[in-house]
Amino acid sequence: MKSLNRFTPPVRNKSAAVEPQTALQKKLGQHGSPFKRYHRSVVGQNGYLQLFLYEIINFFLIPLPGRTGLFFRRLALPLILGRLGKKVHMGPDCTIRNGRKIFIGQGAIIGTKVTLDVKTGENALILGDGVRIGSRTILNCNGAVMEIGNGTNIGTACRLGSLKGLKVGQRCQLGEQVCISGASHAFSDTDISIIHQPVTCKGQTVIGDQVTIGERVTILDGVTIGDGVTIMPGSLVNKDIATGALVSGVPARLVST
Amino acid sequence: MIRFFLKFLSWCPGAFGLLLRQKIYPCCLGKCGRNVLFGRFVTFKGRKKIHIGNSVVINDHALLDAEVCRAGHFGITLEDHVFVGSGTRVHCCGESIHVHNKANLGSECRIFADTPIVIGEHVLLAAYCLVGGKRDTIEKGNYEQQDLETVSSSAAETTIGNGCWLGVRAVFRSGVCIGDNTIIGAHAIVEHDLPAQVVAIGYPAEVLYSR
Repeated sequence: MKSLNRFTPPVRNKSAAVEPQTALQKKLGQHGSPFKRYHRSVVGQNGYLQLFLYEIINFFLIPLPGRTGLFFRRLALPLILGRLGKKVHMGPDCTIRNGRKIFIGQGAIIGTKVTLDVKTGENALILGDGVRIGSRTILNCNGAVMEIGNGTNIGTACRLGSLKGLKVGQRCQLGEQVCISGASHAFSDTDISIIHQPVTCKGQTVIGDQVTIGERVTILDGVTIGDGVTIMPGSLVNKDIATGALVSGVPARLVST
Repeated sequence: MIRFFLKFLSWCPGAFGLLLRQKIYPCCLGKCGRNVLFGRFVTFKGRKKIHIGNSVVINDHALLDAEVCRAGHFGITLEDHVFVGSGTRVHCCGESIHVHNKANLGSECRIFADTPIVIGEHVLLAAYCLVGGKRDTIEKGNYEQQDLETVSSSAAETTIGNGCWLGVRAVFRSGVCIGDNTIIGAHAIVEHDLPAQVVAIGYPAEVLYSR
């Protein structure tokens, strides 16, 4: 294997004009052979043994239904995850990428078809004790640390992202289809299309303890939400919200404190 | 037997599944280029009316439905380097959908074509966007073939210009055109045409300023 690695791949199209990469392509790291790209996106910087383990577990154990699947996943997932607490209920058909950076507390309940996606680099995804995640939710950790506090309840088909970090407090309730974008695009240059302009982020998104977020709420990047806030369904939050407030509308305005 | 095999293909996880789908799905589709990546649980309806270019990525749980399409129309066309996010649903409710080069459809988007839909080059659709679909179409869920013949074919085209950006949960009504490089804010509802190079927000979407 080592002698194989010594070969450097031939440099192709060096003189050809380099096309500008889109933000998505940069995120996926579109260089190297397809196998290299797959390897990097699935197990990060870890070696071939980890990739082999991941493939075996991903093929045989992750899609397994029922109690048998649950039992085998509890046994085998610590091999590819950073930490898996006791009595974790993990549904079938989940997608795990770069599992060594994922830390799951005890008693967490993760539904079916959930995507736990951590990109390579100094990133981590930390789920506290007793976190419940609904099915088809996407936790997309592009950068920094995404931390979800103890006892938080996340609904179905949500999408949580972080570029400069996301922190959700304890015992929060998130409704269905909540979107915490965590990143935005620059659009100052009118000559280049927006897809080719860099991804920007105003800062860390922080959500306090015991926050209730209704269905179809969007929270933009760099927003701080205090403890005990209630956000009505269908709102768009683009500014900081003080502790204990009730907000609604697009963009979200204060209804009562 | 074939049905069982296709079911296995859409289920098959890991690198093996990706490879199998890349090799076998082009045989089932109308046209399919090279290096196309299909995620798990991707559903196709009316497979022969779906045309896919080179290096397209179709993520998990996506649905491409070209079953109910008027005779002589192309169905769904995805050109090169298009990205379709996870859980995105693309329906032909009688008309064709054309997505140009390097467009990016985010996750959980819904596209209903009851008028022909053209999505330009380098368009960026954020998550949960809704494009097209008159209200009755969505509520009815599925068009019957008989209904199609009664619907007039002179419906206006829905066009999203090159390099546009639609924010999270933007709603784009059918028959509306917007110009190139326009930005639509999050949660905006576009009900009438907008010029090129502007930023528009609100319900209905009004021009905030020119870029």
